Amino acid sequence: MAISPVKRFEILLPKEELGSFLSYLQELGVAQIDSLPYENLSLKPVETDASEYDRWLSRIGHLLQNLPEDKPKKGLEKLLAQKPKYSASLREALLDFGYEKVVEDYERIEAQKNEVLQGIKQIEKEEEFLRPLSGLNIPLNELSGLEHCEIQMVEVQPQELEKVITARPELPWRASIISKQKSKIILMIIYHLSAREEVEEIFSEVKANFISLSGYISRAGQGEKVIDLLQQLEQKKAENFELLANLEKEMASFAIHRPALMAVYDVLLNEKEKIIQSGFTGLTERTSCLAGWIEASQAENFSREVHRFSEQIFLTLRDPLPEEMEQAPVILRNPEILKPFEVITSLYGLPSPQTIEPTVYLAPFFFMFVGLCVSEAGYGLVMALISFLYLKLANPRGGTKLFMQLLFYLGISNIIFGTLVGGWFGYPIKPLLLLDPIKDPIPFLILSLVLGFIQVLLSTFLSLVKEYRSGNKVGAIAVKGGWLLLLPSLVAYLALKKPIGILTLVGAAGVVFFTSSSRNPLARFFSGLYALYGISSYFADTLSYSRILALGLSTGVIAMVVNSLVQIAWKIPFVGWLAAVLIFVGGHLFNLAISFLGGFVHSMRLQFVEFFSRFYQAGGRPFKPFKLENKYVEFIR
Amino acid sequence: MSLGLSLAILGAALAVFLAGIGSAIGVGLAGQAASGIMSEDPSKFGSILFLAALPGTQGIYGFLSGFLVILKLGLISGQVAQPTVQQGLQIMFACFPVAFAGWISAIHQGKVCAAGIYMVAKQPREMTKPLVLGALVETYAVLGLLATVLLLNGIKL
Repeated sequence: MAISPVKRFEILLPKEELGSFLSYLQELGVAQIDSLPYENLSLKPVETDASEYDRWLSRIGHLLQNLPEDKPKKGLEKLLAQKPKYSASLREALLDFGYEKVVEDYERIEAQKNEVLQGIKQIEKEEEFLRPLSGLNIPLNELSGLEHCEIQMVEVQPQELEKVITARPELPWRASIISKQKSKIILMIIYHLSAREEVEEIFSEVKANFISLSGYISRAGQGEKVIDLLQQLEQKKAENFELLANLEKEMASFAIHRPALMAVYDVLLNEKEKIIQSGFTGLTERTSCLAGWIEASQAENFSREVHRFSEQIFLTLRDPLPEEMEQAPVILRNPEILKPFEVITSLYGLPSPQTIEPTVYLAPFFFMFVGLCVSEAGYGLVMALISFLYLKLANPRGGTKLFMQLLFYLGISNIIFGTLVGGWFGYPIKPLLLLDPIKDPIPFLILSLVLGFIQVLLSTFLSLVKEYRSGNKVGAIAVKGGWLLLLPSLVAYLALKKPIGILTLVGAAGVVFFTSSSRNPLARFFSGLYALYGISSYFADTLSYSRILALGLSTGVIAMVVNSLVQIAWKIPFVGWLAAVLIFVGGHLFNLAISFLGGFVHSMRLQFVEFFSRFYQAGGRPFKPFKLENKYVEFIR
Repeated sequence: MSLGLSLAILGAALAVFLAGIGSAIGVGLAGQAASGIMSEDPSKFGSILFLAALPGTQGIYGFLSGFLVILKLGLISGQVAQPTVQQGLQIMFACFPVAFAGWISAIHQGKVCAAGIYMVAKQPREMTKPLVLGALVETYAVLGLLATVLLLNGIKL
């Protein structure tokens, strides 16, 4: 129910044992290693280089990303799939299967494949170039080597054709059309060498392109035409595609290595982490030194485990010094039933060490607020079932597990509050209904405001505790206590008109006379009077809880709308039942998603903005024990 | 059909379409940002979907206010009420809070959510914080809805 105390540990051990000791710590997974103040202790930092691991990780990662699964999983099976499990102590052995060769082989085939792809692209480019020339019915090697004449291919714009063909008829040159396309026409021209300059000028005037075939002419065999070349290219392309298919098949056959590579990836990932952590340790000539944090409740166990590793280890465990407190990591410790609500606290940011841990205070309110904001028992049932099944079947860990448990609670909350103030899929169960916000929203509004008022008072009380602990005892009791007296008595006075108002005045006096610490009585009085204006913030915060009514109402009304659409659809002849079922399922799913989103986010906001603002102090460093990380597989001790 | 009834229906229509316009613009802004992020990293779809959907709630609030008016007028049950001109005006004015607060707040929430989506692109773990910031804007639409519901509840036909 609070922030768990932590202990500082310092360890000295022979230098050569550091590596295996870090592996051991990693398997234990309970200690967070901090960097040492090397200079103060005149220690040498350990030099680390994890780049080799980084390279292998990225190569294997690339392979894993591109490899298909050996036995592909689909849909639900994939969602519920669990990571394969390996024993942590055997993880070094997983590296023995020769992953280097597998990765290199794969990369070689991949490089070949890229080469083939490149070749195909090249062939396609050539085909594109040659295809317009396929009408050229002359063997290519006859196009060059004429004694007095020159043959060339030219590409002209269609609108220029007439002008070009009829130009300079007196010169010894001729043109014939090889291919006609919408945007370009290819001409073959033949001219006497004496007229070269004039002919070239005709074409350069209309910005025509000369097409060079020299590469193909030298390549073409005796009597081969463009069409023959195209055929050859086609054949070559087909061969390349066959090659490509073979290579791809070969690459896919690597899928059998996938499970082993997944394990290797995680082993290397953890080795890299170990290298990084070893960078936090310090060296002397013969010993290495490391320091860090563990949870206090683990201390005894930790000390035993450390000594079991080796006799030659010197371990000190102590409470953190006051000046170290700021650096100490924060671990939330709540009873199992409240743990899921830690998600909300962590989302805002962990509390600073030695401040109030708010999870236990926000949990009941958050539970109720989401229930009232969604207020749909049917949706609650769906949500509870889904999260329960996911928890049972997929067996998630860490944050996902807590979040799923939270959703399960929120489902339960909705079953309760949905039955009391809402309905089941839009149909209220009349005898169980405490109040019906659609008929008369006022009682629900009052309920929301009362709950909000209670939470505002609680946050004021917690700020009293915080201030009292920080040393300002008189101020805490007089001012915060003054508000705690003033607010409820004022409400009671306004509601009941009973002479309870005297308590209001007492509370107000506390606020007025103790807010300022000034010695000047006048300054003290007036700044205290100004502080009374702070009542507007209590008022505004309480009113903010009225959103619970609005959100609760919106779910109910939309569910009702869906049901009336269903009734209308039901009357359609023949297909009515189908349309009705579709509208019912789709409509309620939509409403479920949108109202849970709204309910969750707004309930969270009420905690963060209205509740936390008076007392909560975030800024704690999360506790990050050095442990085995799992990306693809799971290591178990 | 009386003028009173027409005015009341105008109120319902205003609530639905003004808040709807706002939500359309807001979701549009957030949706563009989301597509931009997904062009780089399609796997972010799950985490930014909620942010893109958040400005859509105003349209729903408007719709549900409109529906409450429809219920009040008995337009579904068939027993159509005949409000006086005064009552028709009252219903129309009662629709204003959700219509206008919804319209404007949805646009601004769209901007906040779009910015939040850019944030999630750089800080994938922090997806709930921009959601809370979006909810800060939405407060005023919720209060608008609340005012409309309470006002409608107070009008006796």
